[in-house]
Amino acid sequence: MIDKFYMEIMQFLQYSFIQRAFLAGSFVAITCSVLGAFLVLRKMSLIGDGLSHVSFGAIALGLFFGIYPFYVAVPVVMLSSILILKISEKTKIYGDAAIGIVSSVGIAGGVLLASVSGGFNVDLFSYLFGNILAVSNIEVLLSILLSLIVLVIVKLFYWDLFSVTFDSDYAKTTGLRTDFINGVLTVLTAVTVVLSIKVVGILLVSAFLILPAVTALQMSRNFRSALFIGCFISLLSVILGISASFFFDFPAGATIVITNALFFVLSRGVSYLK
Amino acid sequence: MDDIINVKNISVSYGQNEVIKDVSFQIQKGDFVGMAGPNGGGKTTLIRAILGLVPVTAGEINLFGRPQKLFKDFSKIGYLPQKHSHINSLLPALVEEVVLLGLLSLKRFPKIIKPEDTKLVKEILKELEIFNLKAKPFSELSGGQQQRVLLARALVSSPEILIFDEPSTALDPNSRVRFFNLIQQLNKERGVTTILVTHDTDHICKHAGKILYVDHKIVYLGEAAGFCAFNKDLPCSHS
Repeated sequence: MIDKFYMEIMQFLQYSFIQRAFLAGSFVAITCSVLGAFLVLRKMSLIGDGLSHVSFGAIALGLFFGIYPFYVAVPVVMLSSILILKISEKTKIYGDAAIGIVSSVGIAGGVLLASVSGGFNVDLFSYLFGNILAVSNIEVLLSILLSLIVLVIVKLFYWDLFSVTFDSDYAKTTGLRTDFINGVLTVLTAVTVVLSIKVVGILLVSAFLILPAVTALQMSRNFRSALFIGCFISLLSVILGISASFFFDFPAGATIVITNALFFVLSRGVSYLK
Repeated sequence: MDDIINVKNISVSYGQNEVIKDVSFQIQKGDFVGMAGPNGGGKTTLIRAILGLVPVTAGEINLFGRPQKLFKDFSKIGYLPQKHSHINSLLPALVEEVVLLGLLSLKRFPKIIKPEDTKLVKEILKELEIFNLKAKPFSELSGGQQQRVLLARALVSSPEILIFDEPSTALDPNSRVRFFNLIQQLNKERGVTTILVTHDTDHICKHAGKILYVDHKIVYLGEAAGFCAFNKDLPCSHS
């Protein structure tokens, strides 16, 4: 029985689509959990949700013009993230309302394009729930490349992000341009949201950003260990999600998010018992 | 005398509410200025305007001879804020990380922490007798301990001016005396220019050389000894 199980696992790992899924999923998982920690602590969690809605419109735009959707989604979602910041900076509108405006326009635009085209509804709606097992070679490459770029930028701005997150008022007195740092965080989130769509789908992107971070923050007494624990949880949930999808025919995105949610409940339980 | 801070006819408003009206003063190198005034009189707003945290609606501020907007030598200023309300208590920052933030003003992009930075942090923690707290999460400390950690953050870059906004509110009476003595020592022995905002006129008259009494505008600016005579209604025991 153990031999049979071992053989099945080995066979599972030899499938190229599984290898691609693990590779892309792992990089995106780590990127999401690192950025998620800053977003949660900066009270910017909902920007992930808003930008994922924008990506719905952007993907529809790509499909409408017959362009590979991710090539359209990355710049459009990045521009939208800047637009959200500018709306809340330049007008008397709070950030959450700015997110609401831009994200609803994204969804409405996507629905309108789908309705006008009449032909790509199935393609578009497949992005809502993601499909990591169908990730292509180019998508793996893009995921790794963009994840590495995001992680390197986070590393370069680590102390700026840490300072702004801990005490933004004091950060300003040290000469830090807090608006610029917020902009960096938002644009990086935009890229990460687009990358996560293939893994968990538009509807679950914000959970993928938030859950590993909040779980890790419950469990850690210092920020660096919170980042590592968050990455570990996120990575584990992706591995479990892909495996469950293959062996039990579960939807990978939903399994990843449910696994993350279980880790969160577990961490709360442990905190309660302490 | 070298002006460290030169405030010329500034006004600050929050909406229609003018909190600071046409205020002017200079602070010279080595001064120990006690800034006092009633609650809501604009002391904190004035400090925040000097630090560039709130915009002025009129007038001009020069720091170390440069217009505030062009000022870049942020490491010359050490700041201890009034409240911890801007501090994110959910971020599990360790004490040594919090103090390291005081060194970021000395660094350019990308900000990398070097061994000499951690050495400076250790030294200041030892000096303030809180080295044992180094690896503890900031949010788990008492109010007095947090205040000392924030003082370490303000001092670690060896600033030329220290600005303390109501620093003693979180301290018990003994810690308060030690705190005031420490500030006075820094001012006398190292020549660090000091602005100390407080509503505690009795304490401030004991320690500060000059008093700046603010109630939306400047009510008194001069020697601490003169302040006792100027305002007999307030507790004041100049030493």
